[in-house]
Amino acid sequence: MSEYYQNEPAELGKILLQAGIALLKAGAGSKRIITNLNRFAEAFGYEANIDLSTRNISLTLHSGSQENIFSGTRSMVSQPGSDFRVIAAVSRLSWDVKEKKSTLDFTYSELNKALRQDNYHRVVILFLVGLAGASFCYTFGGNFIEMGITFLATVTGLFLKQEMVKRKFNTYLITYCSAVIAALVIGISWKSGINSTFDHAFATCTLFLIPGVPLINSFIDLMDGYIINGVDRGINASIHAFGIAAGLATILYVFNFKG
Amino acid sequence: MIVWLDILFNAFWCGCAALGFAVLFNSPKHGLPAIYMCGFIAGLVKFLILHPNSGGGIIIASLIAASIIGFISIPISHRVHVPPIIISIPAVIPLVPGSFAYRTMLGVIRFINHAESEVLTSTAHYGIMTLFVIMALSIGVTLPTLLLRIESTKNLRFLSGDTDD
Repeated sequence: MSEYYQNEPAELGKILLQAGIALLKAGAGSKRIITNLNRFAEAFGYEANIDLSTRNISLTLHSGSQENIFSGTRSMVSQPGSDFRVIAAVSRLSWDVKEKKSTLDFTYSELNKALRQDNYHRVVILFLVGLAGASFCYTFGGNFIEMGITFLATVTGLFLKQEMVKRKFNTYLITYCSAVIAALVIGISWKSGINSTFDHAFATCTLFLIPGVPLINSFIDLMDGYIINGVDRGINASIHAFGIAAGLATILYVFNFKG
Repeated sequence: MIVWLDILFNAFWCGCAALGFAVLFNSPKHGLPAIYMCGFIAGLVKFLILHPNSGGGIIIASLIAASIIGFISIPISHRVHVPPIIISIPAVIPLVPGSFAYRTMLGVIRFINHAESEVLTSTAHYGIMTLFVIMALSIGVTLPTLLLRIESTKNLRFLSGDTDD
């Protein structure tokens, strides 16, 4: 690291922007992203100045007495999702870099390895999230029949969501449609007389759609003083919540259910 | 006895809900047992406080449960080598006030056709409860970082060995 070579700032800048965008996509808080990127930069003896929104990242690198030696911007098309594996991997890598003083090439390959990690198998996700829906139903006072139906509704809704995400639909539309389908399953089972009560299953079948990560990140950002990003995330979460409510309202209207 | 069993059952299912959300958020595999445990504890604390004998309200129950999760997620995340939020966010998701939010939405729809003050009052009540519970959860989760004024858990002196931010 002590040896300065021509390409180092550009290489490091590239890595930082890649890591930053990956963290944004994974749903990390603003302070976390800036702390992580600074840790990378400091490990190589640079100072990073970062301008961060929820969709793009601008960065300049300085080194000691020298002027700007790198500046760059990257933005992303998609909305931030949530991928905790990436957050954990990048955080871990930033500490490794800081402590073991690894080379740039090594960091670059490690970062790419971290970003390429596998997701859970789709069936596992469907099953466990369905179970989570059923659990919610229990804690809200539902019986086992309602839990079963909530499981079915959640799995159906999530399946649709996964298919729509694959086809790159608008994210709020995905939330609305998934809510409609999940509520539809409950509505049909209610009409066909499988479950006599409507409430518990209906209230819990769409909970897999709640924007938990943006919501909590929004508060974390506000508390850390990243007001604009916090408001941005908060409004994003509210639109998702509205999408869920609109989906439920649609089905309530169709089935003419009086709450 | 039955009461305890009931609380334990609720806590058990809260843990399952936390696990489901952990998988949905693509958490690292080695963090899953810790997330289940934290979800269980969150449910346990919430339903203990909510129990009529304890007499706590839903907002204070959520706040205390979320703060406990916020604090215990630090040593636990330290042990399983992941950032604390990876454990604390899925663990508090089971505490989200879904039924209040649902009743708020029902009330709003009802108010469209029935412009009565009782509908508006109860809807506003549920809406404010929803908002406050969510705020309590968020503040509870962020409380440790606010109080301990830490950049990362790595610098905490009462912990030893390796950890991650």
